[in-house]
Amino acid sequence: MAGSASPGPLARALARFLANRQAVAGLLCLLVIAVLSILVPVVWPHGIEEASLDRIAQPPSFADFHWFGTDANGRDLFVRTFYGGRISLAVGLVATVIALVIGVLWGATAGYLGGAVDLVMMRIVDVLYALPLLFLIIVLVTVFGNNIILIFAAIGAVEWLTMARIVRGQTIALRNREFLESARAIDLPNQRILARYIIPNAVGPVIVYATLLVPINIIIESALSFLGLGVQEPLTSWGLLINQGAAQIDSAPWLLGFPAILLVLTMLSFNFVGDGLRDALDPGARG
Amino acid sequence: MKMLPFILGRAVVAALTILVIITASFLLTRLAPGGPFDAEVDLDPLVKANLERTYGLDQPIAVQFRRYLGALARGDLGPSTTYPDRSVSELIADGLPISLRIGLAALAVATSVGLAIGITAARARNSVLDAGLMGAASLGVALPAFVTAPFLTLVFGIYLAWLPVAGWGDGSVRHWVLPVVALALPQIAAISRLTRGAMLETLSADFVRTARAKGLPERRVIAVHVLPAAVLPVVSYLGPAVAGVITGSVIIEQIFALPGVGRYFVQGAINRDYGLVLGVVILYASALILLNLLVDFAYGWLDPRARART
Amino acid sequence: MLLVVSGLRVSYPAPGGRVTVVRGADFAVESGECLAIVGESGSGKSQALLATLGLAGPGAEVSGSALFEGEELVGMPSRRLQQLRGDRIGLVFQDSITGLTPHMTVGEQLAEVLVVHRGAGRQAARAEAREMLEVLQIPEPDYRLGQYPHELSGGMRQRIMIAMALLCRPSLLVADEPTTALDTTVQAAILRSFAKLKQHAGTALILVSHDLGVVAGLADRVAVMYAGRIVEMAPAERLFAAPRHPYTQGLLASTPRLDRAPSAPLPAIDGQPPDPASVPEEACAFRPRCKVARPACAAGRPPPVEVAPGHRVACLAAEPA
Repeated sequence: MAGSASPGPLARALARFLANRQAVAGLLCLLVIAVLSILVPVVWPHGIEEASLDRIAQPPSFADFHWFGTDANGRDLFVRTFYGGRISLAVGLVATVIALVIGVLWGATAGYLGGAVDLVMMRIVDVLYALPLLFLIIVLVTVFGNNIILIFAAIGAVEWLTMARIVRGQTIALRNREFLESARAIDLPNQRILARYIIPNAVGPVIVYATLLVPINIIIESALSFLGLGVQEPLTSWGLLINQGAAQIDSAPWLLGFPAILLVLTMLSFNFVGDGLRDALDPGARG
Repeated sequence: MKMLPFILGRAVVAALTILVIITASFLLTRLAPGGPFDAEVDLDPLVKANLERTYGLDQPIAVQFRRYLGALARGDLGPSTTYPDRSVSELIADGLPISLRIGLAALAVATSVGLAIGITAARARNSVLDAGLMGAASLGVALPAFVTAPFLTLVFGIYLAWLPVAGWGDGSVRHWVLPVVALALPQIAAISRLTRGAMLETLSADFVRTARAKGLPERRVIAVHVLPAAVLPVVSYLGPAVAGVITGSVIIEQIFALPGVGRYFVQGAINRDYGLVLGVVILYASALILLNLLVDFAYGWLDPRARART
Repeated sequence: MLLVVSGLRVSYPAPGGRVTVVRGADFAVESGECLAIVGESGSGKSQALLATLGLAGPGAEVSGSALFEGEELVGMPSRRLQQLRGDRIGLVFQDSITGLTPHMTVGEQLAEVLVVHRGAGRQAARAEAREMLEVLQIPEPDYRLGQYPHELSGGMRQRIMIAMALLCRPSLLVADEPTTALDTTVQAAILRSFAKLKQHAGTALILVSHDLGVVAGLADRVAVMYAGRIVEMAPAERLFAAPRHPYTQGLLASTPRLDRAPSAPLPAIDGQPPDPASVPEEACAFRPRCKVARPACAAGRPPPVEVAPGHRVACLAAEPA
């Protein structure tokens, strides 16, 4: 162990993360997609709903700012793709926050109370785990209607199971905290113990899993929209764009191609960032 | 061996779980705001009341639930509001053979191809082949079916024109290929990654050296000593794999216009057809719970240590 | 001679070039004889044997010669090696929880050897396996055959492992740290069964260990290995009575003995065992840790010299007696 001059655990985790090329590339890619999704709908010369009958289903071209081509209604795909990105990213993030809140509360309660409460609560998680989650979300959407807010909620309400398991495990581990006793034994001050052991131990896996949950939620939103059960016109999302593109795949393949590429790029980036975070926060866990 | 009480105990828990799921989803659909006939705005209140009486929606919930359970016991899942001339049971009976065939075929393809790729990659570990296979698998896990399926259609259905773009047709193999491949791809990716990891871990175990020291031919070492141990994580993945295939089938049936259960399910969901949605959920949830039960038993049979633990 | 090993070298690929772990080992065993190979971990003692039997890790390169019953093992097709392993040459490793295949019963794992090497039927193989357990005085052999490895104690696992190695009545048994993970009473029992085996069946035994104490009662001759070479080899009694290599002397001094007060602290050899990647080719490898090192030790590797009949030492300080 190095002396007190060594950088703190957060600085070391950051250094490890920055040394991971895949993770940094993923993060940059996400930043670019996020910035474009925010800015393009504002600054682009074409509006989202701006349809024109004289440029229906044109292939991509740099002339006239139709970089991704136009759709069957003559609307510009570039601005629509990034507008869809806004909604897809928003659904992914909000649903993840909802899952995070439910999962952390559920898991911490079960882990902290233990005993019969823990048994029943985790049994419920086990049962839900065995079910195809998309079905549950579809049931929820069927029952409560496919309003976009309800879609956030429905996805979040179903995707918290793994989070609950992780947090429960962490809570139990922290309750037993052998490593804390040894840290106290060598007279580390409480703040140091908190900063050095408890917070990294509890927060690390939650952050990592949350990062990996975002792409899952984006995929679910896209799948719902693709099936016509999610986001509806005049709003749009990557899933809805892919659906519309798939219908014209023989005549206008770019309508499928661009949203699909962005979706897959986003998925892979989130996965790389999540893996990078896991390796950075918990170097012992894997390779 | 305390095998019988173990099996019975698990079976009872599974049955209770199914009952809870039926009750919960029934209550969810009945207590929700709005009904299947709300969408038709111009509906005469009298007509609406009439319709609700026909479907028994005017009764108290407890009565409705008792009737539903009674009918369910006879295999009757009630009427469908989307397809007024058909019952939910009939619709499922129509769609299930197609969904089942596609799903089982995808599962068989995914397991065999996934195992083969995982074993190959593990035995060629750290080679170019290994890196290529695992890179493809990472991509395969990230690619959703609603992206790969249209792409497959474009290449094999439109450009090459080898296979039909969509539809069930006469049900011949040509109509199966693309849906099965699209459904299997993410599972192939997941299973091959799982298999590779488990193979590498097992190959470095001491008992493999013991088996080699006994002078067993390498093929026997792999087949008899390594594979059964390496396959355990794949067996426990079968539950999630089936869940993935069922979920995927909803999307695949939509894309390829296959008249399977998943397609009816989506139609039912779009039209807020509670009977149909409820029926499909109960069917698939029960199937998955039973399957997980079987996986538990299979695991115990393959791993004597698990048998001792349970 | 049953097995004659000469000039054996084993190397592995490593980042920054190959690492040689065995650098020219010579030894031989006769039928009915027990040769012990002793050394610290990393001395190459296990690698020397595993590599000749085709059990080295991936990428290993083996050169030199190892004649077993007149057949050259180095460069032998893996098919033929397979036929020898488990049949003519039995192998026993250090006990570990995963040493036996977890999903197969003891009976299946024993019978398999006879099925593969002898083409025996399942019934016959099982009967023979049962017989072997009886020979090794394992209680309740029928019950054992139906058990899974996780149901066995460490000592029992190791006796099953030995039974497995002996099923085909090999002419050579190689035991690599066979008693290391076991407690003292089990250790003694296992060593006793080795002694019996040598006496009655005439099986040659190569015992690889880091512990001279384990070797003492059983070995006819002892070879001491250091940094991939045999630095001293002598009949057991002579080696324990009059060790000539400073390394052997250090090893002996650090081994607990009955004729010394148990409370006296054991002197350890100073320094660390050498890293195989940085062993000098043209100097005595033990020089950095040696108390009697002289300038000449750095100038050239000392050749093995016969200091007494059957007693060879590779050290400049050891002059012929």
